[in-house]
Amino acid sequence: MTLRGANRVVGVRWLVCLAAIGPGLPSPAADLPEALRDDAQGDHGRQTVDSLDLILSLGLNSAQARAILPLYAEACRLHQSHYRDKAEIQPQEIQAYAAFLAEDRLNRGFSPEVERSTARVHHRAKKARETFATNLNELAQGVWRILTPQQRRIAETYKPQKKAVFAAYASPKEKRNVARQAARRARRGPPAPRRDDPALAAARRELDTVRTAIHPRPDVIAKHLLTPAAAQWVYELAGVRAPRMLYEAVYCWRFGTRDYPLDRCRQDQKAIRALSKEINHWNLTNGMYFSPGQIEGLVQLAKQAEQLKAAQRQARPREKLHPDEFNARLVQLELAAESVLRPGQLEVMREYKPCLIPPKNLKNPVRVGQANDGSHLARWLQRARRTNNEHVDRMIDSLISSEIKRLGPMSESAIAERRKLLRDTARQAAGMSDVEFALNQDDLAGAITPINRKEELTAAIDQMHRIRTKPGRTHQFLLNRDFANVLMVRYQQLKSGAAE
Amino acid sequence: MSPIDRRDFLTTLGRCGAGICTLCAGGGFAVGQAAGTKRFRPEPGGRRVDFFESLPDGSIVCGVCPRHCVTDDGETGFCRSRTNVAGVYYPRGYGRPCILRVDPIEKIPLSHFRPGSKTMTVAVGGCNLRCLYCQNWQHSQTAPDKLKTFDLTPDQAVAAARDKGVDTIAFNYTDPVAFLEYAKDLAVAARKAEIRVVAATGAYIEPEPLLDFARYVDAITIGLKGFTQEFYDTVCSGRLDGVLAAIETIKTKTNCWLEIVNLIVPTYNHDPRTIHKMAGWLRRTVGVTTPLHFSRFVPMYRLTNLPRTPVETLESACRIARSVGLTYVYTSNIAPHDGNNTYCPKCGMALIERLGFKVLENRVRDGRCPACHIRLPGVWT
Ligand SMILES: [Zn+2]
Repeated sequence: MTLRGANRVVGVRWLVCLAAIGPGLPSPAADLPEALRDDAQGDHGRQTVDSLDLILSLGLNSAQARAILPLYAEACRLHQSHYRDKAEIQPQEIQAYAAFLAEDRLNRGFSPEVERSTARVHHRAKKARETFATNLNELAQGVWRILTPQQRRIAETYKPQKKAVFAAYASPKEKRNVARQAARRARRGPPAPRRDDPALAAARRELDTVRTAIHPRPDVIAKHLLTPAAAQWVYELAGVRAPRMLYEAVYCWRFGTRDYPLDRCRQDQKAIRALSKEINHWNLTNGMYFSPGQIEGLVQLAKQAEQLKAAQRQARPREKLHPDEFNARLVQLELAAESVLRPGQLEVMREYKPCLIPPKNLKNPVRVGQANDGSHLARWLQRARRTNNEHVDRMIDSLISSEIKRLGPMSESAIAERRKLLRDTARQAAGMSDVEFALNQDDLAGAITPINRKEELTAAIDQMHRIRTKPGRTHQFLLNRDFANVLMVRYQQLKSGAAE
Repeated sequence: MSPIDRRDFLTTLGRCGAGICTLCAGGGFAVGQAAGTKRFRPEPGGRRVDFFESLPDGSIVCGVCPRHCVTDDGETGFCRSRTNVAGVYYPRGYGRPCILRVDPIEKIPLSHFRPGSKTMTVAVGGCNLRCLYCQNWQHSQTAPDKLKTFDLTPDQAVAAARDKGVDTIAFNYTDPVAFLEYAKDLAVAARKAEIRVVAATGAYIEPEPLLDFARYVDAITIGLKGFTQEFYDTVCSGRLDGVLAAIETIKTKTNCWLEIVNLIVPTYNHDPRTIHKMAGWLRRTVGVTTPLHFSRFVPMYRLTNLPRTPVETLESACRIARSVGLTYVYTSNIAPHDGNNTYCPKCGMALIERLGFKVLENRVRDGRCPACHIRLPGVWT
């Protein structure tokens, strides 16, 4: 934590208040609900501390604080409205996902209403999350604008600093424990240096950027500075008394609402995460058609992987395996798991993307003797053939904007290039006879299939892991306890004929 | 191309409902006015149906399929694809395919015919069966001239395949029995151009037209939809004996490469004893090396109330067929599955590994297993 100059004093004082040590010290929380003082515990507490850490790291001055204040009314409104959305959607998600999971477990296809309601509520939740993030990020632009270039740099690379926060408010006993651990580490000598892996790091950074663009998340300012919890510090810094509105928002942030208390909200979130995770495991299991023999092999390997990981976690520091050795053992297990799979299954796993509702080709592939409509791009070309140039241009604009939404941002030059490719291909398709087009539509659609940077990066990272002997997708998907549990249920079902 | 919507289809179905019901109830001749109200007018000098008999009163007895529809002037056969115009029988969809695509050959399905190759698939509307699970019902259960179609003479079709660089033409999605005249002319043209022809059919057809067509066909996949007359009555509106005769004809009187596909519909034709009987009949009639595909049913068309075929049912069907002695038994519409692959019957090597229609690995060399060198039945080049 960069508690610099005068701010350092203020920072430590606030943190001390947060930890409810030293009653009587002046505190910005003095006017706020009692419970906020032990806000330093729990998730929101951590976020509160992180907010303060960011404020202090940036070295916000009071003029800047005053400039930010007008944004808080809207930020608090967004937070409260998002909480209300969650209150409405989360229980529906649980209900829908539980019904979906029950059918997914049996692998006998989904009833239309269950699939529809799951898709609907999943989409709503995603939309609510992303709209909230987008709106908050827009608001955060107001903050970014008033930051100095140096502050912007700090913010861009900011990571919450657990250790510094701990150092500021841990009890003497906790500190003694940490000191003992540090001494032990010192006796053992410095840890093996982390191998610098610029290509991997760059790929991960880019993947993160693409993911954030596709599924907007609050940026660092939105996440840490535009929260009701941070607002109290900024009001304090600005020397302005916090308005009533803020108390309500802080109350909602800290306790939720009467109808949907925060504890229940967190329980629901946990339940949704667990359901989604299990559904994802079942989707993969269902798409793979494991035989009982394969399940036995995979469960065994997953258990070994879990044992290895647990042993590494629990081992005393000097008994821990060197990371390279640990990874090598996991890779061995991974290779063993891959040898259990048939080529078709390996292919499915290579192309598998974790999902809630399985994609059509996994759930219900085109069947022998079934005429299919072709890809959506083939249909797009079909429409483009029947219309005039002006309308084709509009179709191109809307296609590109949907691709940006789906696949991530594109540079101006990439957009221009794509527009040209689409226009040329649409023109080529229009110049074809119906018969020519029917026979060439798949090739044309293939030629205009956009680059999916997310998939490319994911595959590249997996490949780099393999080259660098780190475990990859097989480990991630198959060699864990949760997946092994799902497999064991499937094994019983196969034996009893309860599922396939 | 937009297929007719469900409502249009149901309206059409309603109009011809009486005809279908008559057939379902008692069999015999069935004449539908399926093609709707607009009177069909053939091109002057247009292609006629090859197999029919004109009666003195101007009516016609169709000779293509065992149904032998009797039609008066202006009436259309049960298949919706042939009409009596002033005592002459005309195909309604000649040169007017409603589907034209490039597909993998595995989609026919054919597992022992040039695996991994592509076909130009052609389909014309109409069908002489009424399978309740039809997955192309929008095309098969509509008169060919009521669909959006391409204008494509047989010669043009062959030229299109050539231009596309495809050396196999397939009749799939709808049954070539319903557009036999076009299919045959196209096959003749293809043969001249050294393009292979393959067909997927329910084989509810008389031996004579079948042989006339099969002379120009290189491979044929016959859908043996069930093995009881009851199944054909309830689900397909056809006769089992006609189909069995056609299979026998193909095997004994032609040089076509033959594969059999059986779609297992839960509660209708999944009974292991019947499957055993069917496998036994196939062994005796077409031999142990004719590939048999057990295909998974997926709720469709008028059987949306049923579940998908359980994997265990398909696997058990495969076990039964193998126990009877059939060598090449496959599963389709379920992937990844061992049943998608071709294994060497002698050494057990996985010769062709597939993921659905996708050939992942083809180890067959010159039609032989690379390990034990036994010759594999089929067409490999
Ligand atoms: Zn062999």
